[in-house]
Order: sequence, then structure tokens, then C-alpha cells
Amino acid sequence: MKRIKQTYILAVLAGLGLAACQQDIDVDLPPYEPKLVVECYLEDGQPVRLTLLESRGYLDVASLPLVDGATVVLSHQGQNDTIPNVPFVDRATGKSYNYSSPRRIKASYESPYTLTVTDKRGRTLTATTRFIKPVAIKSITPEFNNKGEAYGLTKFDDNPQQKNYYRLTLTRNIRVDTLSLDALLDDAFSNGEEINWGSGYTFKPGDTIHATLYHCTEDYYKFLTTVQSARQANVNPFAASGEVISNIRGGLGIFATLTYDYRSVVVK
Amino acid sequence: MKICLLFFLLLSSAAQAQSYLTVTGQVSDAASGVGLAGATITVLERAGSGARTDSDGRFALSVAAGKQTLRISYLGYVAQRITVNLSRNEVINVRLKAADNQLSEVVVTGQSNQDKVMSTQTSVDVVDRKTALSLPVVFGEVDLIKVLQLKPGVKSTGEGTSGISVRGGSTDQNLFQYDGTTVYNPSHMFGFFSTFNIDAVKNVALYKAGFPAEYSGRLSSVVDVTSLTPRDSSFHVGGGIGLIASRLNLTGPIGNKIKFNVAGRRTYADVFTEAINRRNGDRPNTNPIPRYYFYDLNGRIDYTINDRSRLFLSAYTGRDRFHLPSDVFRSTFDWGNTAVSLHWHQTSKDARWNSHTSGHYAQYDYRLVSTFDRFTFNIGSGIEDFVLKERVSWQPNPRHTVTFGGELTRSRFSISRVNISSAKPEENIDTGEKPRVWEGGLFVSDDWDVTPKLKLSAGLRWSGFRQDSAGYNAPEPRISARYAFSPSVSLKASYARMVQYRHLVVSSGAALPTDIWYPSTAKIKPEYSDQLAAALTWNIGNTFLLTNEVYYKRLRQVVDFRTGAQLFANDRLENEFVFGNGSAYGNEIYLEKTAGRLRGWVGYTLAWTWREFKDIDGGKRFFPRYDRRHDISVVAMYQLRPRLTLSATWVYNTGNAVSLATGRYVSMDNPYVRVENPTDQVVPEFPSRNNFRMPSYHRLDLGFVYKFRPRRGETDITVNVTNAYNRLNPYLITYQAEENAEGEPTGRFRARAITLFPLLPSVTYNFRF
Repeated sequence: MKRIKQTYILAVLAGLGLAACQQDIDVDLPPYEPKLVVECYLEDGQPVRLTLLESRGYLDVASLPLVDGATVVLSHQGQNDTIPNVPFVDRATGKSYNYSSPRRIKASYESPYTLTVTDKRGRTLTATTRFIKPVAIKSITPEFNNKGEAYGLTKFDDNPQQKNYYRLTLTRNIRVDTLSLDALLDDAFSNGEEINWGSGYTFKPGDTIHATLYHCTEDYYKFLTTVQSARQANVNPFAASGEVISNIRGGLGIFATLTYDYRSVVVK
Repeated sequence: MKICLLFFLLLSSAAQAQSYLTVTGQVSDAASGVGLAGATITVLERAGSGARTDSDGRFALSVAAGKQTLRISYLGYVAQRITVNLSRNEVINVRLKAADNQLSEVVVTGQSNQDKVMSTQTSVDVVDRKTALSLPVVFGEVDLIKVLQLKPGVKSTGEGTSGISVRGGSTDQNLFQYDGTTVYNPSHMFGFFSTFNIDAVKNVALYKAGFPAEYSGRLSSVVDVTSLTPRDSSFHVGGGIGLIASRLNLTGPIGNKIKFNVAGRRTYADVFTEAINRRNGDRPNTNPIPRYYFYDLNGRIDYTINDRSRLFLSAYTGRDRFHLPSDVFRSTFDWGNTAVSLHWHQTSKDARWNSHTSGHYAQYDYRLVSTFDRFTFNIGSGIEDFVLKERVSWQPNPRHTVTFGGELTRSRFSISRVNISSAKPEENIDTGEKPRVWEGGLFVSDDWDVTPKLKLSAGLRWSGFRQDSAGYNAPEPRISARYAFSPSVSLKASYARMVQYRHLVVSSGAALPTDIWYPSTAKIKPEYSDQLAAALTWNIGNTFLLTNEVYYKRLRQVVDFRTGAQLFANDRLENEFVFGNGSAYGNEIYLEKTAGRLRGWVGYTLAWTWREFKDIDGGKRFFPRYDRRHDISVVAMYQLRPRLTLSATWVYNTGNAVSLATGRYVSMDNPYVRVENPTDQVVPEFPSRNNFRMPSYHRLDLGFVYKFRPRRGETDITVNVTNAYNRLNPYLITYQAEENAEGEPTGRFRARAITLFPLLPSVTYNFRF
């Protein structure tokens, strides 16, 4: 909606011949103290991998400020596992990490997982998360318009006993690819009901629709929505707030579990 | 306590009752017959005794029997003296001649300055259409609200917009009324123009503190817009042709008892864009230009029943419409207000009792209707008010004027209405809230001339609100006093509490059509403000008026939204509110030259505004967007020749407090999400709310009005230059990723400032026959 507002205003101004002027400006930003940033997703049956970085002043010289030599410990039910500073590049997904462990996680839904990071300068950050049960996709159906284009209609049931947060992503032909749909939704409109969510008309006969429905913890959902808001606030004068809600104490980023249901369907 | 106060007022009145006679009448413009609001009638034999005319130029005055001299004056008009030998109640109608028809040889009376000195009212600014028509304006569209922005303590909420922040209040804390009817979104074109067409408006009064007891409902200001009284002399056609819009106005009498005024305004950029779209219709790879226009229609009919009773019907409707034509995605976004009111004024035979009974209907809504393939999206919000008001004033003797009355409002809200429909039921969505509320208030006040030097105005309002099981009521005391050291110097002080039961879900400082009004509920308590103000006023030689005013305002239960709030299509919007406190304090200096060929004013405000929310930045105090330490405005109007007026305005203010990211980091997202562009992985880090000051804002606007000498009527051409020295004031600062020669991101960023208005000339042709 915020984007709609901005688009309308700029369109009206442009229509009246008042095209806004742009110019470089010297911004006197206060000195910036870099913070530790961790991004770690635990997934049942997958090895533990994470990236540990530092933030930078917005106008600082470009670099990917990896933080190496830190002590990273994953704790669960009194057991502490140290995640070594071993870089890993996942060729299947194209993601790279600077801490990884070959030990695979076995999801436990009863108790939380805690991540503790202490770097060489003594900075410490901690975060806690837990696994929640995935929510099944009931169906993913291509729906055609009269031009032969199709959108993907995904259906799933919401559990009325609890507040639920979802992220639904759709890709075309390749599972890990640029997203055709990236929807963040909660059950405010449809608590306990069947939820139907459609994409744009981006599919054609012969395509494969890959649908992934993440059942998110509240922490992860708030992180995703506020990151989205912060990116908008950076370019939109009408955006309300740019603060990112993170579950990392002492730093930035996210420590979350990935529980999801995945389905694919060929468009016919 | 309150009952005691009322008894005290009434008893003191009765004790002082003497055998006074009553003079009633109307003060009007000699040329048009239009009543002059705020004209002063002074009894020269008794210092400090007098009256002001109401919104239609009518007055009632108690005067001792015998020979008396009345002086009738109004700013910009030649004052008149009338000697009467009173042996019974008299009706006197006075027609004043405009001073600017006679130019420099006329010294315009400074009586209005003295009236400002002697009144108990603090913190009020009145702008009439004559002043507004003389000043330079953006795109040639005369706008009374933008003239108010040039007064101390009133700040524009954004470049070129008509939104205002008054003494540290947010945009939703201003009550806009058109003939007493609430206008919920008083702007067009996303805030760039106000809804008040200059052809239909007589004046606008802005109360910043010391609010009269009859006003309530918003914390920071009341903007009372009065419609133009129709001419009773002859039929006239007027209008203007401008860069953005054209106006047409018809006014005149129908017989002896009825007179009317109708005014319309419409933009016409869409006429040209439609022609371009038709021409490009068959060309491949061309996108149609969106169609946009707005219009206003104002009407007023006055009916005089007899000398002591009259009716008038006032109506306003205006809408903005934005249409995005496309084969694939068609969208229409329209929004607007309607304000209708019926007023019945009555005066008793001895003119000591005046009654004003009125009924009002106010409506605001926005609708966004889009069609995409088989889907229709219908999104909107709105509010509807049905209001009854009664206001009675009673003048038991010349030293007391007691005013009392009440109002009752029934409101229907429609909040976050979202309807998505298609042929398939499983694809349909229908959400939204439709609360109904009652709101009301009773008030009483007394203006009391304690001594010729000391005047008190004390009042109490009791307001109440109910929605389902949630109910609130609150006393709102009002008191102000004036002590006159001499006829030209006075000290005033006031205290006022205001309560606000309706809250605006506003996502920015601008008054956007998508902002949603939301009522108090069990969870959302009313907002309160308490304001103290003190002013020293000095009428210097009837030529200058110098005012220095200090104020302190405390705000409680003010609303904002939690971080990450879902403001769009949310059925439980009240869960997104957070509550906090605020304060604002400052000093306003105002020097106005009210006589001579050169007129205008200089205003300077030094002010601080704070907000504090437990749920924002951990409860740390922060400056809201509209906090500005220094604010200067200089306004000058110079009558160079009988037909040529030059004008200039210059404003300077400290930059807005805004949130600007100071850091950034990379978030690569989860393993199953591919982010192709590295720039899209960047997350900005905002250290705190409104952590950054925009560069200072300053701008010079110039204007000149040349009146032609037509055979009949009046015509003029108005030329304006907005931002004459082309200061590129940043509207927004954003970061942009740097790219190399191949268009690939380098990973570095630079700050960019976006400016809305460079130097802009405009021309308007006005006519009246």
C-alpha cells in the first residue's frame, strides 16, 4: 500500500510536469560503530551453517566484512556444540557461510535452541529459537486467464488453536530461483479457515510451479516484515518506521528455524 | 465546583443589571453588501466598551441611554463614526468602504490592532481572502491554509503541502471546520492544495490555544473556515483561469429575502492527458498517462425570515480522482469530503439573546477500485457524521456575555474495507470494521469585564463519547484573562484542556487520502492536551502590532504505531496502536504592519517538541518529524501603483527530524530463496526514531497582481514565482547504489536528495462582472 501511495504521488507530479529533481548531497552521518550480524537457519536433517558479519556505516567503503575467529556455540537441552569457523559454499543454493558443522540437526519441538557467539574482541551475542510443526499445502493449482497465462493458487488450512505466521514463496521451473511470489501473511483474516493465496499471472503451460510454505515463528515473521519495512523506509518518505525487530541480543540478524512444506506442480 | 462557577457568573451578572438599551445591526462591505466578520464597534464615551461582529457581520451592543458615538472599523476599510441619541433600542446597518480603493491617501484604521490588544483571546490568527489574494502562491492556486503556515507556531508538514502542524501537534490534532462542519481530509492532490476554494471562503480563523468552550475534539488547533456571505446588492459572475485549475463563481440576490453564492473549481490537466492518450492509442509500446483531476463545489443560500431571524444552508463537496487506464490492470482511486449544514440564527427583541441552531452532515471516504483479469479489488475507508449543535449567547449587561450550548454527534466509521471478488467463491475476501459511535458535549462560558483593565473569560466544557461498551467523559476547563496596562498594551494568559476521541491512522506527516480515522475503543483511550499560554500585545501607533507569546503544551495518550505495524487491510487495527506522551514549548514573536502601502508581518518561533512512547526506542524521548527549532517567516505586500500590488514571502526553518539509516548489513535470506541482485540483500539500520535533521529549509516566493481597467467589473492578472532563487530544498534523502560503467553495482552507496519544487512561475487571470 505504501508503494501504491508513492507511485500515485509521483505519477501525479510527473503528470503535472513537476518531475522531482535529484542531486547528490553530503550527509553528515554520525560515527558508526560496527555491530555483529549473524544469520543462521536451523533445518531438520540439515547441517548447521551460518554467516557471521559486521555491519558498516552506510556510506563506508564496500566490503563483505566477514568476522572470523569467533566462538560459536549451539546449545540444546544442555548440550553445547561448537560450530567451527569453516567456510562452506552450497553449490545447490549458491549460498556461502563462514561457519559450518557437518553435524545434522534433528528437530526437537519440545525445547528451544540457543546460539551464543563471542568474537575475538569479546563482543557477545545470543539468540533463542524453537522448531514448530510445518503446515501442509493442500493444493497448488494453476488458474488460467483468457490469454493462456496462469497464476498459482495455493491452499492450506490454518490451525485455530494458535496464532500462525506464514511465508509463501513460488518459483518458476527451478526451486531455488528468483521468487515469483513472496508473501508474508498471518491468520488475522482467516483464523482457523482455509487460506487461499494467489500469485501473479507469471506461469505458462509446461512450466513447473514450485511452492514452499514456511510456518514461521513470531520472531522470524517480525524480522521478515520489518526488514521489508526498513528497505521501504530507505526510499519512501511515507514509510512509517525503519526499525528492524531481531531476536539477536547484542547484535543484528536472525536466528530461526525453517519448517516448511514444499510442493511442485506442472502447469497444464 | 462547576455549578458554583455558573451560579457565580449568573449572580454577578444579575447584580450588575442596569437600564441599558440595545443597538443591533450589521456591518457590511459597501460594494458587495457582504457582511464583515470581526468588525469592531466601539462606544467612544466608554473606554473598553464595544462589540465585534459575528461571521455574517451582525452585532448586538448594550449602550447607556442618551447621546453616544459609535466608531465602526474593520481592517482594510475606512472607519466610520455614527452619533446616536438613544431613547429606545435601535437597529443600525453600516456599509464600510474598502480602503484600498482610495489608496495611500487613506490611513487605514488601526482599531483592529486595538481590538487584538483588548480581547482575552490568545493565540488566534485570522486570515481573510483579501490577504490571501495578495500573496504569492504555488501554481497560482490561492490557498488560505498556506497563508496560515506563514504565521508563528504553524508549520507546513511537507514541501508545498497544506497540512499543518500547530505548536508541535501532529496533523490529526487539527480540527478543520467549514461553517462548523468537520472536514476530515482538508486537502487535494495528496496535500498540495487545500479543499477551500477562495471564491467560497470569507476567512479562516486558527485557534492555537485559549480555545473557546464551544470548540473541542482535537488537541492542538481549531481551523474555523467561514463561507463567503452571498452578495445582496446585485448579481455577479467571477472566476479565474490558472495553470492548474479554473474557477467559476455566481453570487447575488433572488428577491429581497434570498441571496446565494455558488462556486466551482476543477483542474484540467486530464483534458490534455486524455488527448495525448487518444493520439497514442494505436501506437505500440506506449503506456497511457494516468488521468487525474479534482473538483470542488461550494454553495450557500441565505434566507432572511425577518430582522431577528435568518436561515442559511451551506454545502461543500469535492473529490479527487486518479485513474490508471490499462488493458491489464485498471485502477481508479478517488477520495473526497462532503460537508452540509443548515443554520438558524435568532436574536431576541432586545438583542440580548442570540441563538444559533445548526444541523451538520460530514462525510469523508476514499475508494481504490482495481480490476485485474477476473478479479475486482475494492479497498476503502470512510467516516460519516450527523451533528446537532446549539449555541446561545446572552448579554445580561454590558460587562457580561454568557455563552452556553451543546452538540451531539452520531458517527459511522468504515475502516480498512477490503473486498476482493471474482467468479470463484474461494477467491473472495471481504473484511473491514464498521463501528458506530456517539460523541457529545455541553459548555458554558462567561466573558466578564471585571474592570476596564481586567477582563476574564472562564468556561467549562464537558465532553463524552461512547462506542459499544467503551465510554468516556471528561471536563475541559477553559480560562483566559487580559490585563490592559494602557489602551495599547496588554498582557494575556490562558489555559485550556482539549480531549480527542478520534484518531488518525497516519503513516506520514502529509495528509494522505489513505489515512484512516479510528474511534476510541476500550483499548484506545482518548488523547488529552493541557496548554498554558501567555502573551504581551502592543499596538504601536495603530500601525504596527507586536506580540510575544510563550506556550507550554502537555500531551497525554497520544497515538502512534508499533514497529512493523500492519496498517493496511487490518481488521484489528487497534492492536497496532502504541500510546505515549508528548510536550511542546516555545516562544513566538510576531510583528505586523497593518497600515500604509507596505503591509505584512515578520514572525519568529523558537520551539521544542518531544514525544515519548514506551514501545518506541525503548521509551527514549525523540523529536517528531515536525519539530523545528527555528521558524522565520517574512511577508510583505506593497501597493506600488493604484493597480499594481507586489508581494513577497520568505520562509526559513530548521530541517525536519527524520529517520535516516546510518548503517547497513547484509541478509542473504534462507537457503531456498535466491536474491539475484546483491543490493537487494542490504538491510538499512536505523539507530532510532527521527535521528537525523534535514538541511534547513528556506524559500522566497514573489508575486504581483495587476488590475486591468475593464469597461465593466474587475479583472486582474496574477503572476507568481515560487522558489525565486531556486533553492533545492531536499524533500527526501535516500541512498542509491553506485553502478559502474556497465551498470553493475559497485557495492558502494551515495546519498541523494530529492527536491520537489525548483523555481516555478505561474499565471492566473481573474475576473468578476
